[in-house]
Amino acid sequence: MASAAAAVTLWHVPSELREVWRDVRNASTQTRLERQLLPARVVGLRETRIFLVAAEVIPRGSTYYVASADTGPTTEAGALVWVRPFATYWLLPRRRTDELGEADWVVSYGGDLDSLGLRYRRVIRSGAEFALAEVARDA
Amino acid sequence: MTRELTGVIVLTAGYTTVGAAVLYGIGLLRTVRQSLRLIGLAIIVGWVLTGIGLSLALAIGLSVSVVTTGALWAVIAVLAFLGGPVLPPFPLRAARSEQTLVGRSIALVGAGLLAVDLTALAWRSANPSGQLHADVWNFWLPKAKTIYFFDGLDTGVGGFTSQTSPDYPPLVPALEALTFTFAGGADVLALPLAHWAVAVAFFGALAGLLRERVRPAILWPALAMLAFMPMLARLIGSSLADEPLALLYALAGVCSALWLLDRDWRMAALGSVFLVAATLTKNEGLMLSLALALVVALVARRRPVVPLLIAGGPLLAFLAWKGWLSQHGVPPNYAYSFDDLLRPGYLAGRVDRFEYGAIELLKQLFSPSKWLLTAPLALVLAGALARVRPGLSALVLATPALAFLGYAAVYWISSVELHFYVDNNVERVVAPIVLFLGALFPLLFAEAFERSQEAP
Repeated sequence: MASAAAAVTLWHVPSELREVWRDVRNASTQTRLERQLLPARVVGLRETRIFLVAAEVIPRGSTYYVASADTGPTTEAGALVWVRPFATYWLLPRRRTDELGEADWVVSYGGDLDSLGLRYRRVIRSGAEFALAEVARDA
Repeated sequence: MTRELTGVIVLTAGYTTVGAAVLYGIGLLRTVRQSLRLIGLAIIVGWVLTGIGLSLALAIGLSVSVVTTGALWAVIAVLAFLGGPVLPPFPLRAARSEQTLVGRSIALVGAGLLAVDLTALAWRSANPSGQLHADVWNFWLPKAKTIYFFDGLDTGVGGFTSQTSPDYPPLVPALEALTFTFAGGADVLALPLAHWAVAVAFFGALAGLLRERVRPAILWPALAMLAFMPMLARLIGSSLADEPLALLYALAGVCSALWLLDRDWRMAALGSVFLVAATLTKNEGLMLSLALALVVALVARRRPVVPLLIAGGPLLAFLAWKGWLSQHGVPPNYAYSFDDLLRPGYLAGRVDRFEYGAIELLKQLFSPSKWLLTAPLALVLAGALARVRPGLSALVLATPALAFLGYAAVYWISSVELHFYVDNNVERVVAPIVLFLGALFPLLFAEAFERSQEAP
């Protein structure tokens, strides 16, 4: 029994160490920011600049709504379901809301800002499909 | 990186100090030699009590801050030092040693392999690739960030209760938030190092607890086998709650086994603390805790107080968290409700789910490419010891069996599409069961070996 346990364990030692080495090598080929954004790329969200812009522009504690397309020219449809979760993860301490009326900002990931029926104080474009809009509120 | 590293070191030093105080308080730690032997256990006990304390602090509206944590540590340490002179020293025996060159060599190779693996994992933890399981960035880490940024369990828009599975207990996000606090920011790449420190402490705790009963030539190779289990290596630093849940359940199992063998209530108390933390880690933590408590109760029929202690702590923790959920109107988990186990018609119509889930769980439990031979070897040894160590044998055979049935029952009653559900989590939900068996493997092996030496 001891021999079987030892043999199977020793058999796996090289592959385990190789896996660790691969992980570290992968990490060393990327910047810290690229590694932080890796979850988005893994699920197919290749465009991540809009999240960086949103984190820079939207004040901490503000609320935002995420408008994403059902399909997009640069993003596979299956990946778009991850836009909201990734925005939540990346943009804290900004607060994501699913109620348009509560939103101070709209993060558009291939969505149509005009179709939301809101007025905007300013719109910041990030490429053709992505935008960040500050909602204009009546005084 | 320097700030994060410093933060993790300071945090681990805090765990060590408060854990050592508690071990002193219950009489386990009285000499410098004992301190060195139990330093891993001290870190784990400090980490666990910090997690439990912060979870309760969050539930009464406090935040995870240096002040809250410092106050918590101070209270625990003062209580421990008050208890120290009252309780008699724990009858900790001398660690076993090897008398022969062969024995010493085997122990040295085992310890060397363990050190190599933990060093490799340290290297990986210091250079994390950023690869995270979807559950981690979808809800575990957002929850931790809400605690960190919004100073507690925020129930507003985008707060703790807005995240996926808001009913899950807060221990893991609280501890991640604490790491953020000490690391100086919510950088998720700082977390693997903190997890690695806990994993090293876990192996140290196992070694410290088992060294008086398990000779080094068995102990160190067995711990190396655990460390090289591919799935455990993947879980360490993953930020999945299955990682701490598995460590906690394994330690609770070892403490329960030592209580069965030595009957000192302090081992059972430690086991209960680990189960309280397990209950506050994931919803299934209570199920696992009750499975262990039930088996201990059956094994120790004439000693009902200790099983009650083991079950009572987790139940109180569960009720405290349920109270908070109820107070804030948080809906129950969408995936399953154990109430459905009382609906025969509902169950009868979906027996195929139980069958499929059970088979998939078994495949994982006995997969050498995931967990080496840990589970089958431990079960065979437990079976072989049934006559000479019936209590230990029953603990090792029945607890995983109950836990296994519990997980299969969850697949049975869940409303989530079965294949999606199983594919998403079966690989890792078996972790507490396998690690429970793996942590007890050295003890079982030592007992079996001693018996074989005694046999004519």
